[in-house]
Amino acid sequence: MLALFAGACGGSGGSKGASSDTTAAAGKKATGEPIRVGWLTDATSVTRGTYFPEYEGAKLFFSNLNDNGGIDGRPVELLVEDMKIDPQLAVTAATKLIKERNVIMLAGGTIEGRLPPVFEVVRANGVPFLTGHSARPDMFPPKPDPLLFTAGNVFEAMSDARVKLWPKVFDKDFPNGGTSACYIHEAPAAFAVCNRWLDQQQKATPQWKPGTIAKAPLQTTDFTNYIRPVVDSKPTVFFDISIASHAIGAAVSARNLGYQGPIAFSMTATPETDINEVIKQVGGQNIYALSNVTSIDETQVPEVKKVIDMAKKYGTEIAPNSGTLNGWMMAMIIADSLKRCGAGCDRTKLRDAVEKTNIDTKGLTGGNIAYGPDDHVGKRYWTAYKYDTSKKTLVRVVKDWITFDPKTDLLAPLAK
Amino acid sequence: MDLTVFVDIAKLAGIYLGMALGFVIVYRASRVLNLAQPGLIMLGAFATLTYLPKYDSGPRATPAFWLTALALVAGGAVVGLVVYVALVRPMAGESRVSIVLMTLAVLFLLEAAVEVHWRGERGFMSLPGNQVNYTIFGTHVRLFDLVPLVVGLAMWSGVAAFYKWSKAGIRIRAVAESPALAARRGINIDRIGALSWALAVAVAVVSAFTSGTQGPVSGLLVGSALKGFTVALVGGLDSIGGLLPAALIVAASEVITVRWVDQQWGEAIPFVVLLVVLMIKPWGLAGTVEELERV
Repeated sequence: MLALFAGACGGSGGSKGASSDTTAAAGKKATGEPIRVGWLTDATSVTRGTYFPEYEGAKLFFSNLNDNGGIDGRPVELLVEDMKIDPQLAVTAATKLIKERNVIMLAGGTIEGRLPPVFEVVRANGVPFLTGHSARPDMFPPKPDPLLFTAGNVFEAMSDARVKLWPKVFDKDFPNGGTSACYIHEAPAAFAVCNRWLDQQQKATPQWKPGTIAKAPLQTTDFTNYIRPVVDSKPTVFFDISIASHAIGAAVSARNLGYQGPIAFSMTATPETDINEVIKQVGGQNIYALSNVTSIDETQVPEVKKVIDMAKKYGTEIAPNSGTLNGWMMAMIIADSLKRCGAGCDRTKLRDAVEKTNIDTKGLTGGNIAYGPDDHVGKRYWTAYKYDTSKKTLVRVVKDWITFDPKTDLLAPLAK
Repeated sequence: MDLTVFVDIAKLAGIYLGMALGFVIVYRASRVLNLAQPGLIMLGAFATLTYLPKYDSGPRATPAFWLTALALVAGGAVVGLVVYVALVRPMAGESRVSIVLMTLAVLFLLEAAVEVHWRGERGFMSLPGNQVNYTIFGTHVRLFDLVPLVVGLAMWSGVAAFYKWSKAGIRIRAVAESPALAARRGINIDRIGALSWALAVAVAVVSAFTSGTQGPVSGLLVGSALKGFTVALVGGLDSIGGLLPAALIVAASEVITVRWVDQQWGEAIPFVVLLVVLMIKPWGLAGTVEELERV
C-alpha cells in the first residue's frame, strides 16, 4: 500500500495500459469503498446518439474493472446525469454530482457550446473534468486551464487534421482532385468545420477545390431544399458532419436527389449505428467515415473485441460503436489516473495524476494519449474507412494513422 | 425554369397543409388554439417509427403495412378523444387563454413523454416506395416527392368535403358559427368537440407519415411542425379554404429563399410571411373577420 501511495502522484506518468489490465485481480470483485466518478451525457434528447455511447463505453469499462478488483480493491461507481443539450440542466447536474454525490472528478459532456457553465462549476469546486467527443477552443490556450482535459476534438483542429487526411482517402480514386462539398447544421462551429477546412485544403492541396457549403437550421427535418444546391453542384466528394439526426437526413437527401458520389461522414459525430441507418435507406455504395477512434467493425483489434464482449456481458442500450470505444478510452484515462493517484487520492491529487496521463490505447486509436502541464489535449490520430457492401462492414482505406498535434499542427489560429 | 423548384414547393406545401389542418379543425369547432398539435405530430411520428413493420426494400406496401398504418391513424383519433375528454371538456366555460395555455402544457408534456419513452431515438420510417423514381420532363422526381402533395391535398379536400356535405360536418360548422344556438337546436356540442379533436390528431398522424417521407424522425420534428401553425395563421385559423394558398405561399417563400437568397433566412422567412399577412389581414388570408379576439 505504501509503495502504491508513494508512486501515486509523483510518478513519471507514462503507464502502458495499466488501466485496462485487470488480469492481476481477474475474477475478484472489488468490494471496498467506492470511488465516485460523475458523468454528464445526453441520455434522452436529440444528440443522445452521439454522446450516450461514450457513457456506455465508460460504464462497460468500469463494470469489467470492478468485477476484476477495481482500483486496488475499490470499485469505481460511475454516476450519470442527463444534461441533454441544456446548459442550465448541465449546471444543475454537475452541481448535484459534485456537491451531493461527492464525485472525485467529472467526465463526458455534450455539445461543447453548452459546457462553459459547467466549467465554472468545476472551477468553483476544484474538480477535474475530462470532456469527451467535442471540445472548445478556450480549452487550448498555451497555459491550459488546470482542471480541464479533453479526449475530444475542437472543430478547428479536426478541420486541420482533415486537410492531412483528405488526399490520403481520395487521391487514389480521384488523382486529379476535384471539389469537396460540406454540410453542417447551422451552428457557431460551422465556419470552423466547413469554411476553414475547405480554405486550408485548397492551400495545402490545390487540386481539391472548395465546393458548395450547406447549412440547415437545427430544427430542419426535410433536408431536400438545403442539399439540392450541393447535389446540383456535382461535387467530387460530399463531406457530411453534423449531429446524427442531421447527418443521416442530409446524406439520404443527397442520394435521393441523385448524388452517387462519395459521402464522407465524421464518425466522431455520426457513429456506425447512424451510418447503418443511412445504408438501410439508400445502400452502402461510396460511403466513407473519417475517425480519430477505431471503428467497432475492426473486430481483429483485441481491445475492440473486448469491448464487444463486455457489451454482450453487461448490455448496452445502443449497439456498441466508435462512441462506445471513445468512452472506454476515456475510462482508461480515468482508471489509469486513479491508480496512479493511489490511496488518499483527492480531487487535487487526481488532477495532478490526470495531467501526467500517458496511456497506451491498445489500438483504440493510433497511438498514446498523453497530457502534460502545458497540454491538456494531447495528440490525435486520424484514419478513414469505406463501407464494404459485400462484407457489410467499414474497412480501412487509410492503413496508417495520421498524427495531429493541436499544439504544433494547427494551420490557423483558433476561433475566439 | 428548373422544374425541381416546383417539385420542392409542392412537396413542402403538401407537408405544411397536413400540419396546418389539425390547428384549423380544432379552432373551427371550439375557437381554441391547439398548441399541442406539433407535439401530437411528433408523437405520431415516433409511434410510426416504432410500430410500422420493417420492409425489405420492396416498392410495394404489404397488407401488414396498411393495417398498421390504419391502426396508427385510428390510435391517433383515440388519443384525440382522450385529450378532449380528460383535458379540454373539464375546462369548458373557462377563458380561452386558460385553454390555450393548457394545450401548451400538453405540448411540453408530450415532448417530455417522448424523450422519456423514445430516449433520443432517431431513424427513418419504414415506408415502401422509398426508392421509386420517375423522370418527368427530364427532371429526376421521386415517388416521395409527390406523396406529400397528394396526401396533403387528399386530407384537405376530404376535410373540406366532410364539413360541406356530411351531417357531422354541417353540425361542426353550426357549432363554429354559434355554439349557443347550435346547442339550442339539439346539437351535442361535446360530441362535436370530441369528434374534432379525434379528427385533428388522426390528421396529425397522417402528417407525421408525410413528414417521414422526407427525412428522419427525431425530436426536432416539433420545430418543423410549428410551421404548420404559421400556415394556419396565414390562411386564417378558421378557414379550410385559406390553407392551400397559405401553404403554397409559405412553402414557395421558403424554397426560393433557401435556393437563391440565403439558407439561414429560409427558417425565418415563413414567420416574415406571417408578419406581413397579419399586418395586412389580421385574420389571415381567408379567416373570419369576427375572430379578431383570438389568442
